[in-house]
Amino acid sequence: MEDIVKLFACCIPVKGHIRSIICDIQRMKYDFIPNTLYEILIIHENKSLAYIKEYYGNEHDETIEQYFAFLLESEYAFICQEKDITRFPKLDLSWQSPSLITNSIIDLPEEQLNLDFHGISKQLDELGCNALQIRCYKDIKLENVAEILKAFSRSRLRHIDVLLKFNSGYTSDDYEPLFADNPRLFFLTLHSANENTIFSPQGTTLCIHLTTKKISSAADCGCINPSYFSPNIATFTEAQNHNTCLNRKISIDSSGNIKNCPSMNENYGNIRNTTLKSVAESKKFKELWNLNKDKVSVCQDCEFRYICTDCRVFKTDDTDIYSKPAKCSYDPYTATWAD
Amino acid sequence: MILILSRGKSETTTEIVIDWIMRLGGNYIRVNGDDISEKDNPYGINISNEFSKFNISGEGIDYDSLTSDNKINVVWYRKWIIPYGAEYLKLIGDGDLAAKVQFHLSGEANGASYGLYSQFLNAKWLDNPLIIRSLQKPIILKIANELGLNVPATLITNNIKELKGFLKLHSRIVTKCITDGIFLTVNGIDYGMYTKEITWLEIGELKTEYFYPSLFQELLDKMYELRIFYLNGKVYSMAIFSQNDPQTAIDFRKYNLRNPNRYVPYKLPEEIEQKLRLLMKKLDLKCGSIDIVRKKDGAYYFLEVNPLGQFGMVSGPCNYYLEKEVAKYLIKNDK
Repeated sequence: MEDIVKLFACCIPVKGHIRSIICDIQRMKYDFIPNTLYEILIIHENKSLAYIKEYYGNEHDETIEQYFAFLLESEYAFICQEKDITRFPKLDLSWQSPSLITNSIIDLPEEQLNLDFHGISKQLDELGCNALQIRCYKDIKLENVAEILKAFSRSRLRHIDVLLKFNSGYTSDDYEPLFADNPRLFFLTLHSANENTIFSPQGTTLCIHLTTKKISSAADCGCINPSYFSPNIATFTEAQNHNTCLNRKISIDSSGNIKNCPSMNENYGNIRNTTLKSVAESKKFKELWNLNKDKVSVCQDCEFRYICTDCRVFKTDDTDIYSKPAKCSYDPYTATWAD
Repeated sequence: MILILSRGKSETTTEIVIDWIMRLGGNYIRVNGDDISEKDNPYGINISNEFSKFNISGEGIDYDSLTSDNKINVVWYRKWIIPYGAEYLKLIGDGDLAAKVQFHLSGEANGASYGLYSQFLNAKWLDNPLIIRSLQKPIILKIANELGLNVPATLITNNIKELKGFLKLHSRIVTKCITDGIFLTVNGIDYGMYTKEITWLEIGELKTEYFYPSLFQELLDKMYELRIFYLNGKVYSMAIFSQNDPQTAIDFRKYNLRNPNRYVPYKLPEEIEQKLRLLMKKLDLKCGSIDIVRKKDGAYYFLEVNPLGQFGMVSGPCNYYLEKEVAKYLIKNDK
C-alpha cells in the first residue's frame, strides 16, 4: 500500500493559458500553480509520488517533491492511504437554487420616489429573491431611504445592500439607525465621499464603506478586478454552467424599466404595468443566464474564470455577445494586468 | 399541511428548507417558540381540547384558525423552544428565588409545548419530541454497541479512585457533558461547553474524593472525525480534519475561524452505513446528526447521534443540498 498526496475536495485546480490556480473554495482563497503541476494533479490524480517521478523519467524528482511539499504545507492536500482513495469522492459541482430570482437591483428614480416599493417587495417574495441592492446616484434624504427600506421589512430578503451618494450633512450616527431598524441591511456604500474608508457601526459586523469614487449612473459598473473575485463554493459552482453576473438577477432601472441589469439597453416592460414574475419567466429574459465563461472568448482561457464576476454590457466588441468584458485589463496569454 | 416548530433567530437552515418547500409546491406553517413567549409579542397562541383547536393569531399571520388533526399531516420539530421568559424573571431580581422561579417557568414552558404536541399525536413527526427526549447518550451508546458499532470506553463516575483507574488503563481520557452542553454569557463573554482532556494534573487539583457524577471516555487517536447526516435511510457523510490544529484536536467545535478545519465529502464503508441504518431504526429516528471518529488504525468509532443537530454544516461544504432533501421528505409525508 502506498501513500497518495490527495487534494482536499474543496481545493480545485483551474487551468489558464500559461498558469493555473488552485481554488480553495472552503477557505475562500486561491494560489497560483504552474501548468505542469496542474497536469500532474489532473492526469496523475491518485497516483503515488514514486509513480509520478518515474512517469517523468526521474528527471524532475526534486521539482515534483517541491510541488507536493507545497501542497501539503499549504493544506491543499493530505496524505491518503491508497485503499482509502474511494472514501474521498470529488465535490459535486452542481448548482441549485430554490429561487427563480436570487438577486435584484433597484436604481432609484432621479426625480420622484413614487415607486410602489411594497408591491415590489411582494413581487420579489413571489420569486424567492434573497438579496437586493438599492442604488441612488444623486442626493437623497436618509428619511426617504428609511421609508423605502421599511417596505421590505417583512420580505423574504436576507440581504440588502444600499449605495448612496455621500452627504457631508450626515454623520455615522445618522446612518446607524438604518442598520438597527433593518436587520437585513449589511452593507452601505457611500460614493463621491472625501475619503476611502470602511468601518462598522459599534458592536456590529455590519459595514459602512466610504469611497471617493464618483458613481453617477449605471454605466459605472462592469469593472473586473481581483478584489471582486469570489473564491467560494456558491460562485464556483454557479460559474460552472451559469453567468456569474446575470444568472437569476432582475433589475429595475431608474426609469422603472425591468432589465437583466440596469446598464443594459434591452428592457422587458415597466414596473408600473408589468410584473417581475412575467418577465422572470419569459424565455428571452433568461437567455444570458447560461452564458458561462467557458463560452466567452479570452475568459475561456483564463484561470480566474470560475471565481470572477462578468459583464455582458460593456464588452470589447459591442456586437459580439461572447466577447470579453471591456473593463477587464487582465491578459491570460501573458498573465499580466494592464493597469 | 406541514407544521414547522422552530425558533425565530439563527435559523438559516429552516429558512432554506422553507424556500425549497415553497419552490417544490408544499404548504407549511412555521411557528417560533420565541414569538409566543415574550411579554410584548404580537402573537396569540391557543391550544384547547374543546374543539381540538390549535390557533395562532397576530399581525402578518394569514391563518386564523387551524384545526389540528385533519390538516397537519407532518410536523418538523426543528429547534423548537419556548424561552422561559427572562422579562418576567426581572421582576423578581437575582438570587435563589429567581433561580427557583426560572426552573419552574422552564417547566411551564415545556408543559405548554406538550399541549402543542398533544394536538398532533396522529401526525408524522421529523422527529417526535417524545422519542427524542428518551434518547440519552448512555442509552444510545449501549444500543450502538449492541449493534456491532465500536464505541469508546465510557465511564460515568463520581469518585477519584475509579477515575484514576480509568486514566491509568487508557492513558488519555476526556470528559464531556452527558446531556447537551449549554452556552452561557457571563459579563458579556460567551462560553460554550466542550469536550476536554483530563490529565493527572487536573485530577491532582481535585481536593475531594467525590465529585458530581460526570462522564469520561478514552481519548481516541483520531485520523479524522466524521459528521454524518442521516435522513430516512440515506447517509450523507463529511470528514473533518481536526487533528492538525491544536485548537480543534480534542473538540472540532472550538472552531478556528482564521484557518478552518478541512471539511470534505466522505463515503463510509457500506457495512458501517448499514449499521447506522439499523441504529436509527432501533432508535425510531427518521433523521439525525451522527458523530464518528476514525482512528489512526482505520477503525470507526461511534460517538453519538443528535436528532436535532445542525446539518447546514454538512450540506454547505459538501454541496449536498440537504435542505432540499428535507423539504422533499416533508412534502412527501404531507398526506
